[in-house]
Amino acid sequence: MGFGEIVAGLILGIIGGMVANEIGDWSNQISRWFLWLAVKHLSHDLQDRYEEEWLAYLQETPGRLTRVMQAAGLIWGAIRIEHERRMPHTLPISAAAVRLFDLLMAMLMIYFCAPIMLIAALALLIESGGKEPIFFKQVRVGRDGKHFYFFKFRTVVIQPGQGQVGYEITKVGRVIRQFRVDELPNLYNVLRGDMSFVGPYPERPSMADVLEKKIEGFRERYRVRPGIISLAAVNLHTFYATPDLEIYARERLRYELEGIKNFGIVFTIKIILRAFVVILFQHTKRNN
Amino acid sequence: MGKHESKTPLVSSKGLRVLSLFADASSQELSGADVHRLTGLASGTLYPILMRFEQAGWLESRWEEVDPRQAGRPRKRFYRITGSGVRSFQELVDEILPEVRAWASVRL
Repeated sequence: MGFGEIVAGLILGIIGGMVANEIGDWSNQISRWFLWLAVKHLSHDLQDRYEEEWLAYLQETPGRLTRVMQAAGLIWGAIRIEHERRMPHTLPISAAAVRLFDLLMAMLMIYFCAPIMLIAALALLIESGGKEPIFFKQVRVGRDGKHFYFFKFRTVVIQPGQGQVGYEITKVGRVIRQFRVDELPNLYNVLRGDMSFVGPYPERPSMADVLEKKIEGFRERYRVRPGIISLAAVNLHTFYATPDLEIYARERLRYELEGIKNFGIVFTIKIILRAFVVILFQHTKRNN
Repeated sequence: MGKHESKTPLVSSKGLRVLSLFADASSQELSGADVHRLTGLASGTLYPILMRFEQAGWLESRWEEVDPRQAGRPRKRFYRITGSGVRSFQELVDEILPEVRAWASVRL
């Protein structure tokens, strides 16, 4: 063996060791990340327990690759645990499938709609001369009755003084609303896990409080993530004219509960297709 | 929400494996990692089963008595079978065993 080979061997050995260390460290990072994702899928009352329990579980698991795989498996486990608590009578696979569908669709749509969103944002910026915000965020009630920020493009004039939203739609706003571009920022809500593509309409907290008290079973809606496309909007577009919000909410609840019962990937896709038909071929009034 | 009907849960073959492990080791406490090691079930399957059985009152769990700050590691959670769990397991076995025997005799 020549001197050169020994040196080369040493150098390769050192590099190999460094790479192995790096991968080892990374495997820990990835496991931690998977664990974090898994815990995030659980409801609040379970998070602390399972975070610690699963951290201990992973530390007890020997082997880097095994640990990463087990950590990834915990995401699936968390989805199943949550699903079982929420809806013991449906298959957990459907919850996972819907979430996966939501994530992929949201990413695809953000990718393809990025230019449109950019143009809309620029137009809004120019219209208000940079004095008013591009986005409009509002607190809404989500899954488990948890509050979250609901994002849209701002299409109305914000009344001077208090940051209250008025009902005067701007010129750009009108165009944006017509093509429903104002709803695209909702995709961010889907990515964050606040919303789904199809689900019950996310109410404002003040409205939700009233309806929860008046309508029995209203809280059942909190079993699933609220949707960009309301379960009822597709069926109920004619009811939009009803001035009585309570009657409207009652009527809507019927469809929403029906949808929650059928919750799953097939139903989700069916509603999306139906929504396209409604948007393309029928004139619908919007209630928001 | 949050209230669960305490109906008897469905038991899959994997669930049966977990339950039989606890019934064998009766009164002995096992962590999730122990169950994983002894049954070969992956985390994504194992924990929903443990949760389901615990909710049904067939298993109970407690934290390891260790201060995580002092030990510098998270506490383990130990599971143990309850009296109701042992009974349910026995009932399941009594229910399934004749069927399995009948099936096996036809096969052989």
